[in-house]
Amino acid sequence: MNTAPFRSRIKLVTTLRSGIAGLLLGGVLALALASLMLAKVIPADARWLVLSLVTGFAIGIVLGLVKRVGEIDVLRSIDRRAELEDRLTTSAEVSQTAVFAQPLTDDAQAHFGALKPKALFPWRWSRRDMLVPVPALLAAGLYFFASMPVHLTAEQKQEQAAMKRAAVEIERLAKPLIQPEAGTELTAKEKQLAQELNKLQQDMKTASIEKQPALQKLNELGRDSEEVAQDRNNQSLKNLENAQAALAKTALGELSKPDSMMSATELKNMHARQEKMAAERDNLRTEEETLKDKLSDLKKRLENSGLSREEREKLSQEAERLEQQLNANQESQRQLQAEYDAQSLSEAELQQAKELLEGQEQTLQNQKSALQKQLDEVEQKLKNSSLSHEQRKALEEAQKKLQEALKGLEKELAEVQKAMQDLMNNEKIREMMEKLNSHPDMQKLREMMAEMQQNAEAQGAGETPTLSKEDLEEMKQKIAQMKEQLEELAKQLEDPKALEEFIKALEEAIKSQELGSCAGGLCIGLPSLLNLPGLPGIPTGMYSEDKMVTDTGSVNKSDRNKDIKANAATTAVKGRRSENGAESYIEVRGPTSVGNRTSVPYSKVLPSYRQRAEQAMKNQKIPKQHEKRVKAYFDSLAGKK
Amino acid sequence: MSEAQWFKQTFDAVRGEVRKVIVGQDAIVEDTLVAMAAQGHTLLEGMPGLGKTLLVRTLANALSLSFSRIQFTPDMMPADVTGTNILVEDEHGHRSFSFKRGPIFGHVVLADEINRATPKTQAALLEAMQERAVTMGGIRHELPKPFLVMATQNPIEQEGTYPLPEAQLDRFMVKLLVESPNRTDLAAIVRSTGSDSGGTPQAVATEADLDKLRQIARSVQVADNVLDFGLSLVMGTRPSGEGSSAIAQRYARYGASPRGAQSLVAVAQAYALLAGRFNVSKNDLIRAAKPTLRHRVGLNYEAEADGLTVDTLLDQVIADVQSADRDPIQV
Repeated sequence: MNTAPFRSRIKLVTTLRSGIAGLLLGGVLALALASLMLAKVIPADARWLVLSLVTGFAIGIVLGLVKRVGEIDVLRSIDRRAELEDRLTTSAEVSQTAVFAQPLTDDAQAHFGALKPKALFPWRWSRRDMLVPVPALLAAGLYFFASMPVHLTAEQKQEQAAMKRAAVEIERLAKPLIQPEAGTELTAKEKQLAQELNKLQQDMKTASIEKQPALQKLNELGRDSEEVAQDRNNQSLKNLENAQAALAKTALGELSKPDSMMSATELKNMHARQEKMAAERDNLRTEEETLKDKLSDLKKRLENSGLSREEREKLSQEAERLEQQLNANQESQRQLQAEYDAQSLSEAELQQAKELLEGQEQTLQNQKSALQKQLDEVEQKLKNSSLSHEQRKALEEAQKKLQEALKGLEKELAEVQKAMQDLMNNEKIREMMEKLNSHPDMQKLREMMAEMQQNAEAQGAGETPTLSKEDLEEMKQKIAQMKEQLEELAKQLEDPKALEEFIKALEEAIKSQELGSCAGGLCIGLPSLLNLPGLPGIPTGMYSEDKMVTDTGSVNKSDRNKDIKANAATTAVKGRRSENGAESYIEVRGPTSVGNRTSVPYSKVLPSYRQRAEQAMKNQKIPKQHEKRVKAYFDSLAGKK
Repeated sequence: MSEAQWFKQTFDAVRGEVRKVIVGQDAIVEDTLVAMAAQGHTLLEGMPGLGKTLLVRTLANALSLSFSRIQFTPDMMPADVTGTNILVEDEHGHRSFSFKRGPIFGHVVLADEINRATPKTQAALLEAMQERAVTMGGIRHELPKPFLVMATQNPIEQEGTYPLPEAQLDRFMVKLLVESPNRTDLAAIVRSTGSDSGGTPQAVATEADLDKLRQIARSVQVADNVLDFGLSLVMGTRPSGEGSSAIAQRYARYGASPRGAQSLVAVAQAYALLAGRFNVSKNDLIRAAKPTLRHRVGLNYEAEADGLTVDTLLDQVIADVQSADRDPIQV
């Protein structure tokens, strides 16, 4: 007996009936939910009601589909429904060897053949099925009643209207998060925030959330939004700062290195030391006067013949002690003066200030351009209407900061330009420069330096000098000093003979490559001041090569004053170690910045310099392989003594 | 001709012969024939004068079986039923005991008004009905085959009656209630009285046919769930234990025995064949329930006080079992 059609029919009817039962249960659940919505226990949301019905129906269908229908059950059911007096059931169970097996099977088959599945298992609407729409309709009615404003007070209606308006506002503000622009990648936090904002605005729009929880939720989301906006702002500012830092590094990097030669910090320290030394010098002079008075008084007492031998010896010893003190005092004064002179700026250093100002001006101009560019970008972004409130706020803050930075930069630039103008407007200085430049030998000097520069350029590419704010402050002070020194130099060079000697000394210095010095790419020296091309190792401008005289294997010095026709003395031996480990140094030996201004013999200051050099070696400030050279240098100086 | 057809044909032939003599009482006739086909003893309960004795005698004649009748009275002794040893003297003058068979030695024994005999006499039937043999003086005497006891009893309590013990009742396959004839049947009875129009029943079957009827009936198949239904009916009559029904718990003193279940299925098998089927249906069992179970259920005092009969209790048990037997496919 083929019961497959009956089983299929049974499955179909069972599934449908199960689905309807599920729908009924879903309807009951929806009714319960609608009651809760009406009682304001939960927010009114039609989706929950629909979901209840759909879920109930789906579960019923699934249960109907998975329910198994046994073969013997089908036969028993057919026996009952077709009133076959248990023929089919018995026929299915009977052993084939039984007495009536065959007649029984034939009898069952005869009765089974005429049966129709649809007739035996018809679809009938039961009373339960008729009840299905009732809970669903009741639930819908309750929901609409709960949603209708008829049962609301005027205050509640106003609240709902306000909530709806707020929802529209939230939707507008959250739009950049909910529907981000193409290419905008949201973080996980932002995505979550977007989802919650979307849900809240939907709830508020449908008034399915009450004011109090809505406000609470809104506050929470507001805090989250602020955090997200803050993160974004921080990121933007960080990017901005990175860009500025990169710019500043390009412009200021080299100068900020601690081993830079003649850094602004050193200049500041030098100034402080000068002041300290001046004070010490005054003290020493006062002490000298006192000692002289005492010694004079003592000598007068010795001239008195009424003294006993013992008293005379005692006074003599006292006089000898005072003389020694006086000599020591004078020696200290000389050393102090020498030290003070050593700390003074040379002409080359004055030129360095000028170039420094030019470089600073250029750097500030570059920074200004970069800031202006960023400001333009921010303004462009602000024009975008799809920005959220937080994004707009962040951009406006960034814009404000950029504008302030730009303003500060312009102010600094103006100060630098003013200082430059002051420097160049000095009449004496200008006259001196013109006098020097118009001298016939200056052309020759220019040619010599041009040739040497070409040789130097072949040695490597230059690096970009940089400046820090601290350096700029130092340079402002330096400019004032330089102005004073240039005026003094101009005064000295008024004598034509002195001018001739100065140019000769300059020529000698150029020939021996001992002119000028550089600090962190800022060169101090006469070449640029006199419109001379740069010396080898001496940069010609702010962005020129920052290399010094190459190692010659021996101390490059000359203390023969007659050779350079000036009161020349070694003014500086400075060096540095580059990043790749190569070391270079420069010994500047030439006329001091103010010619014969130095009046203290070097032997007077040598001990203190030697002490400083030894201290530097002890602190490993001098490269190991040059320590011998430094020692040899000081030994040679000491030998001359 | 198939066995089923032969069964039905033979059954119909015997029934036809009975109807020549018995007016009405078709159900009683059929049930009596069914019990005979199943080779079970029958207890007929009804008022005197309803044709019980005539029915039994007619059946015996139609089946070519020997018939004997015992009229039970309170002073009847067991030997009056089974027979007794008597002293006999042969032609040579020798004396010896010889067994004198009682009226029980017959194919069809009518035990008329059986409840009038004393329990001692009634007990004489116990061995005969179950063992189909009589033991006298240590000698076992086999009863003829087939051996069928057809007992009658008056339902009205009268003086000098002794209710049959449970063990005795349990040995009857069916208990049939003979109803008074309706007006039509009564009229026919009256008209036929004193005339020869009724005819004399003819023998249409033999002892062997009766045995064959029994064998064929036992071959009818019973499905598991159908047998389970029948067992539920039997167990539903018990006042306690597994499957007992609520009404039996309240009103039954004792329920049907295993012999009752055997009788139920055997009678249902015969019903199935008479209906032209080769399987027992639940309806066959329901039909066989009252005849086979009513004398096997004892009612308690509460039932008597409430006027509850055994048939009423059985109706309720059947209804309970039917309601519990649901369609396995609920669509």
